Amino acid sequence: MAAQQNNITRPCQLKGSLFTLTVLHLYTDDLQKIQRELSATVERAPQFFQQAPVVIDVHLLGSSSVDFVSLVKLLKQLGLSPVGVRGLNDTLTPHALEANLALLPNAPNTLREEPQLVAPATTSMPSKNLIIHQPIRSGQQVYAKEGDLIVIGAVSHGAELLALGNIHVYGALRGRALAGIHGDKQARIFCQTLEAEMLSIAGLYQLSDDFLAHQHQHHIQVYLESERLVVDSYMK
Amino acid sequence: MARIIVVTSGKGGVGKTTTSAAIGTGLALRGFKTVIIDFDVGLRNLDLIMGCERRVVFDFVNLINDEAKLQQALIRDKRVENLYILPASQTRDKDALTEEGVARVLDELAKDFEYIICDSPAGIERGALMALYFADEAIIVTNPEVSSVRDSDRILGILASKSKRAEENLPPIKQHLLLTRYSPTRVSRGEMLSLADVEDILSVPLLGVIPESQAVLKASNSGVPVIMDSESDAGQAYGDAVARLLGEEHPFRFINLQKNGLLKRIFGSKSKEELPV
Repeated sequence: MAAQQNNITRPCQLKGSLFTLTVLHLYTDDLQKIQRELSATVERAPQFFQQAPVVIDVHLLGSSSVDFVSLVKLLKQLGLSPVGVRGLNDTLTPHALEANLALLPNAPNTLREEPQLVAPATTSMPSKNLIIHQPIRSGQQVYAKEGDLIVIGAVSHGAELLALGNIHVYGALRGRALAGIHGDKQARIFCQTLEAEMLSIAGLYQLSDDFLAHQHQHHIQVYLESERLVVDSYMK
Repeated sequence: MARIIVVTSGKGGVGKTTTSAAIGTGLALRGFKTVIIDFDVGLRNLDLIMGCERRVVFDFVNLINDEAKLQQALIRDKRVENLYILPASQTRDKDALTEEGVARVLDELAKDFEYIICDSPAGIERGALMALYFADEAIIVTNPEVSSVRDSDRILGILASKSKRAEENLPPIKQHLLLTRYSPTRVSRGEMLSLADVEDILSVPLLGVIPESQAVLKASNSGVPVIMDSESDAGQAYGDAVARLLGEEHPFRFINLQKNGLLKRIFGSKSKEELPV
């Protein structure tokens, strides 16, 4: 209670808070061009821009100089309320201070790049491959959701193999095989004897008529080469 | 402990009931107490093949519904000791086969019998699923033609995934391939898949090869299991299959083209294998 009372008695206090601000990205230092573009935008929705706080981003301008004083005047004329600037280099900083603009930190571009890739690599993961030790019969469907599919035995007509990654068949492949089903174009299909009904990698497929020349051949691999499915022997 | 053997195929008309009758009779002839159950509710055939159609009073569905005692429904074969038939109902459909009911009847039979042969209906629906669900072993009956082989392959997949043994992670059902209506002459002409082709596609141990034979139709029509016609090629081939089922080793017969003599080539052009089926 004492602390609360203490709060009230203080005349003011600084606290951090987050706001969504409009950022004006500058691609040129030509004020006339900027004015033309901005007035057209503001005219379309004058209510929206009424005294709207704006941050000016200049990181794309590089070494060109910006007349911040004139720019601030221009923005105020259009009803906007410039509050700060970011993306400054050393030469531009004095000009921005001259125009009474707050200096804001640069956009966190580097942090945003693929942060999710970092996490899985931290611990050693067990293999997500699926190994099947028996023949795959007609009407059966086997799906390796998170890795390669390895079948030790034959795959019958009317059976279907699906894999996120590669498919290996240590036996005759007579059914359908679909590798890289989430679009992995590096995925491959390997089999000891090819008698398949359909082959597909990353959604590109061929039916048995398309690879008749390789039917009943041994030691076959299937892969993508410039968006085309290639069937050939890996024992060449 | 009774062995439950399902005779199945997926496709119809390949010889499941003929095989059930022959194998069951063969086991009983060897002295094992055997019962053959007809799971083809609504399309009852086993009683005809076994020649006991006029003795059916109660049936398998009556047992499932607790409407009859086991002793009332079982038909004792008059020719072979130790052989019993449990007929299907002709007036009901496959929905009458409940899992609990079938389990209860099989449990009761298992106390008394050494072999329980389940004659499966065609298809992969309820009747076929119930026939194979409790099986310890399976005889896959296949004709040497592509659609039969593919349907057998489908059934093999179901055995490996939907049977009790598969669902409860017990040792898998022991599978046997029985190739029926095999004609070496037609294989040599390229009209029929060869034994090697079928074995290659199905990769299941071979229990027997039954030659295409007029003896089979004759036996069916007269209600005598073909295995009792020991003069016939088909009867002998079934005898070999029963022996292999019991773990004996026998060379395969009737799988190679027989070289005809000069006279037979001239006069015997209409061999039985070339008659239209």
